[in-house]
Amino acid sequence: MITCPFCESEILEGADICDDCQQSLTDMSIPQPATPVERGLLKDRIKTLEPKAPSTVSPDTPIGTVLEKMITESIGCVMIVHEDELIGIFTERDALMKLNAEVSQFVERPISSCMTPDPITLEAKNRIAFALHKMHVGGYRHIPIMTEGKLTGVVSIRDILAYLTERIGVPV
Amino acid sequence: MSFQLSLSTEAVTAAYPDQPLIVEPTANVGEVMQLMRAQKTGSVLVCENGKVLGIFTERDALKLMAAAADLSQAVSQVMSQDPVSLSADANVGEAIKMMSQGGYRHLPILSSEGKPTGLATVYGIIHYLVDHFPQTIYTLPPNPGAITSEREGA
Repeated sequence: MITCPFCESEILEGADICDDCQQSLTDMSIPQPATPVERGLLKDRIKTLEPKAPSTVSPDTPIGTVLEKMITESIGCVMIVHEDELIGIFTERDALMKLNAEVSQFVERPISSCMTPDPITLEAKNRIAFALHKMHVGGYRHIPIMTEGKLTGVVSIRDILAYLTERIGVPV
Repeated sequence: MSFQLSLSTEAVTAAYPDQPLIVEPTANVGEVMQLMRAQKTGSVLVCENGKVLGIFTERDALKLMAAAADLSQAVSQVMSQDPVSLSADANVGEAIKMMSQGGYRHLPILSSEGKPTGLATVYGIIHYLVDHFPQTIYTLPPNPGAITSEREGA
């Protein structure tokens, strides 16, 4: 049995107002963060993670050059930018799924032919919870971060893991 | 408090480990990469007689692709030898610590006889963490800043 927080008479689950005292009950269903970690996720903005500057290439860069760039810069993804606009992303996973053992046939082709077009992006002012949500639900490892429509950074699953590890206080 | 407690008491097997994909050391790299694509997995364990000799991951594959290396060589030539691994009774906290310190995305879980029984992945860990605060993550709108015009069902 659920009781009204105002008059303590019985109410039905999901009711908008209490039948007895007519008080609004809608606030009861607003989820409240239970732990400091949850509060942090909902309060801290992505920019507090200090997203790394993205590594960018133009769409006509040959695939071979992009692969070398990923190795020399020790990064897992590059952003494909055309006229200041983000048009795609190319990651380790794309290399494994699309090039694989046939990589030698592709090295001369432009990166635009095997990038993932129109990646999901977030704004630097968005909360970290959204980054975690996108990564977990979409299975992404990297999310491009925009500031006022311009690509300014990239957040990786590693950044999120480091953030959570620090907040949760993983026992040493 | 309770959250920290479960990190140090719950075994790593609770953090959604993958079933490890196992190949022979003599398998050739090109075939291993095709197997990884077919299984949509980021890493394979290289094992001989049930013992883990090494791990071959997406990153290793990327290095070979970038260098236009010979893909007919044996995977044992290019794998990372004796990977850092977890024992089956390790807890989730240890797995997280190892991953974030070493920058690993995959850690083999070994039984007491040294047999691989699972593969702890960073996705599994994130899944496990999100399980502890589902309301914060799963109830978010698809786009930040989206305001629903009407209450659902109203």
